[in-house]
Amino acid sequence: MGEEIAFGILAAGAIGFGTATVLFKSPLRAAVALIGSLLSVAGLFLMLAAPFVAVIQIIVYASAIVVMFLFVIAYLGDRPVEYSQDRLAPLAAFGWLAVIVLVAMASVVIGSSKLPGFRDRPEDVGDIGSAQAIGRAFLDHYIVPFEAASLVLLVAALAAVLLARRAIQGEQGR
Amino acid sequence: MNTVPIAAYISVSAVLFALGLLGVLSRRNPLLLLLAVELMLNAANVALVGFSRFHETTDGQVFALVVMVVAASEVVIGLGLVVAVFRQRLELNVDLMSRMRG
Amino acid sequence: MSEPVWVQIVKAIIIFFVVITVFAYLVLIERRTLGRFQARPGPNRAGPAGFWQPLADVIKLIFKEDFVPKTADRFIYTIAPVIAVAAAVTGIALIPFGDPITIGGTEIKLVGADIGVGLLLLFALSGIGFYGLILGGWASGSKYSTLGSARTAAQLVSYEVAMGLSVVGVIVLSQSLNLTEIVDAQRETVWYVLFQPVGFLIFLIAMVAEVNRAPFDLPEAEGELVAGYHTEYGGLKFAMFQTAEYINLLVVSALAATLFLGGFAGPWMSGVWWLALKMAVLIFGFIWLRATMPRLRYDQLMKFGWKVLLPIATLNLLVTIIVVGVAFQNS
Repeated sequence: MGEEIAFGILAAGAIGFGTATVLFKSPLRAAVALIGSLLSVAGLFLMLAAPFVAVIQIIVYASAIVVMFLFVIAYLGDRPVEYSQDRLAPLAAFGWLAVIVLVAMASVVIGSSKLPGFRDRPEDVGDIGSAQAIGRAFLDHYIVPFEAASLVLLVAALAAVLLARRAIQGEQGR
Repeated sequence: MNTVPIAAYISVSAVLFALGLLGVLSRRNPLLLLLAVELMLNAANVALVGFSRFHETTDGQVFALVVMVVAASEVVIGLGLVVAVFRQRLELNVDLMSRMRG
Repeated sequence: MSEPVWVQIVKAIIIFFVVITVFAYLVLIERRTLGRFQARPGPNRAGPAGFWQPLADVIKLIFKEDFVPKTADRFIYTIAPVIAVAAAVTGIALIPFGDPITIGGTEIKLVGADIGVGLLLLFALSGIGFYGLILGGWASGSKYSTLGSARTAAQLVSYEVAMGLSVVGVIVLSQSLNLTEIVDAQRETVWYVLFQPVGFLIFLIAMVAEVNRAPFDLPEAEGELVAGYHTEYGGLKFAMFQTAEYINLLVVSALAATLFLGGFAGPWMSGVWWLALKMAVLIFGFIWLRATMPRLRYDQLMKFGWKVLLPIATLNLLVTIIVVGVAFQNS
């Protein structure tokens, strides 16, 4: 019983904060709403027997990525946005239509899925989410994605430094 | 941890993905667009971890961690681009930023 | 979830009240110790040896006007100190205080929440605590606060990396992220400060930066940025920021004692008083540091964090991994 309540609160939080993120006009408030959504998702991960992923979600997503956003928002200034030309504004209705159709399709798929036990209570599961289990999985089976991910991080860091440097040179050159 | 069916988690993932998609389609400010993209990536992570639980393996969680790494890198570069455009005194509107010139 | 719910609630209440009391008197002890370092007595008027000073301070702060600046974002301005305090106090729940005891047939673990990934969760909580500072400064709507919070954020993020790296050596040695298991592992071998002296040093330095204490307290530097991110805060909200800072200090000292100094386990005594003794030594060291060293300038601070601390932490980790790998090749 308590578990269903917890799931209800976390799911409502994730979806509610997510809605706030896509509806707020001010980037600061949208970023803060995203924090709420990310923390709710971390809670959902905890309920899915993934404690390590949940904590990494908080450290990486809710704490590092959103802080990056807040830095850039602080640098740019938190102006609620208005645009000189929004050529696609009349087509907004089609965006809504696409989203509604997507949700309908998802409900149909989930409702009629033939996966065994998909809509029933899940079985008890042992330790699939601790740091040891994930470490084992990475080192035994997924060492190549692990190394590739570190390469991606290195490239991203280099790219960020290059982007910042070119911008500074651009400003000084003018 | 076993009274809520996995289908419920996947539904949450679908709704989050749809919300993120709505944000991507309707936002013109690249910052807000990136926030919506993060929402979509989170939805994908929820689906991955949910199915990992369903099949009782760790593989989905491993994949979710790699997705987080990629999301972090993408945010770094995206924000770098936004700051670079801002420094050139151009308007922060993705429609106008869509032509990669100079 | 093996303990009954009422046990957990009672534990939470006890831990919370003990921490609040310790925090209150920690402020007094700090002010008196700083006073003695500076050849003056420190507050000693309110009651015998200043015993009622914390109460007097709290009463004063409660009766101050509770305002919101006009240019501030009201909701975020109000919620920022709450986030800071909540994150700090939650950290206390993860520190183990002693071996499990048995009261009336029920075994009770002397830790608020014995989580498998406890150490990482403490880092995550400190990350959440950042938001209190960053959002508080940003939402205040004044230039001093915004600058203060931007500097704070950059400083905290930089030192968080070195802090994390310095701790990985301990994780490698103890094979676990659970704080109770780390203490048990130190019971079987020696205190990890002997295996990881460099790691301990880096951890302490990074922790001083993380808690925003001197000599890294530029974000709240009185006289430099007025008061940094809490310029526009007064009364009870300001008190909450101070609470968060001192409770963070408690959590950090407890963490250093648990990870490197053996926690509550020891050769002579055992239990919460032994841990409190170790924490007291560390906290005295922090107060001494505050009284002695001048404040680092912002660029000096950032250079130190990235160019000195981070490479040393990485090297330390590398050496630890090689030694452990070679030494335990056969097991």
